[in-house]
Amino acid sequence: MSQAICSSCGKGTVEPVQKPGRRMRFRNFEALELPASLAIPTCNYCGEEWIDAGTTEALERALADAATKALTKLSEEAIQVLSEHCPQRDLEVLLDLSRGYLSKVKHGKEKPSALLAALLALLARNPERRLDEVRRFWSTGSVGPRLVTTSTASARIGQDEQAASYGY
Amino acid sequence: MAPYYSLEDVKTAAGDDRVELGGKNFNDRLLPWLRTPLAARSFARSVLLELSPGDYFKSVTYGDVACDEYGIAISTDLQDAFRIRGLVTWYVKLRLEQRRGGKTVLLASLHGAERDFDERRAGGPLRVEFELREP
Repeated sequence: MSQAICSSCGKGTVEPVQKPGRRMRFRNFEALELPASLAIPTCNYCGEEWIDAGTTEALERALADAATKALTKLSEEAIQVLSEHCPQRDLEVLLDLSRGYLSKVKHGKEKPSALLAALLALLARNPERRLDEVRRFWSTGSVGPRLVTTSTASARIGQDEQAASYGY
Repeated sequence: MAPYYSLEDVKTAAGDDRVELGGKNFNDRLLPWLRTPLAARSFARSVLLELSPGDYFKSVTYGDVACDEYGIAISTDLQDAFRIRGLVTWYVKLRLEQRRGGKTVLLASLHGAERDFDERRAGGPLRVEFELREP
C-alpha cells in the first residue's frame, strides 16, 4: 500500500504509475529501460518513486531480463561480425568455449555473461588484429606490448621493437 | 532534541521488511555501490538495523511531513558484507508511517555523507569517511 503523502516533498500523494521511458542502473549497466507495464509508486507532485519490497523484486526481475537481452543482443552482433573472420568452431576453441556454445548464445538458448559479451564485442571491433592477438596470448602466455598513450593522434607503443611485429 | 520517531519502531519495521526507499536516491546514490535493487534494499535495511540513538542528528519538517536525520558510521562487517569497505559514513533521512500491516519506514535519503556531522549529532561529531578501499 502506498504512502499517502510523499516523504520527499511533503506535498504530493503517491500512487502506482506505469509509463515508458524509465531507466535504472543495474550491475554493469549505467541505465536499462524498465518495462512500461511495471507499476512503481510515484509522487504526483515531485515525481519521486517509492520502492517497496514488492517493487524491488519486480525491478530486479525486469532489470535482470533487460540485462540478459542487452548482453545477448551485443553478443549476437559480435558473433555475426566475427563469423566473417573466423569459423565459429575455431572461435570457440580460441576462447575455450564448449562446442556449439556460441550458436546457443546466438539463438538465445544460452545467456552470455557480461565478461563474454564484452570480450566478443572487443574482438569484433577489430577482428583480424584482435583474434591474432588472442592467438599470441595463448602461444606466448604474455600480454606483450601495450599502448602507453591512447590519443588517436599520437598513439605510442610501450615496446617499439615488439610493437613493430604486431603491425600497429 | 530527540528524534521524532522511535528508533525501536524503525528497527522493528526494518526487521520486518516494511521499508520504502526514495527512487531517485535509490538509483543515483545507492545502486552505483550496491549494483542491484535487491542488494540496495538489503543494505538499506541493514543500515537501519545498525542505527543507534547516538547517530541521531536532527529532525526536519516540510509541509505535514516530519523526518529524522541520522549520521552513521557503519560497521566493518556491514561494509564487507556488501563489498563496500571504506564507505563508512552514511546520511539517513527517514519517517515512519502507520500502515495496515504496521509502521513502515519511508527512507527519503540514504547516501554517503557529503559533509561532517557536527556537535548536533547525539553521539558527537562524525567526520566523513567515504572512499572505497581494498578489504
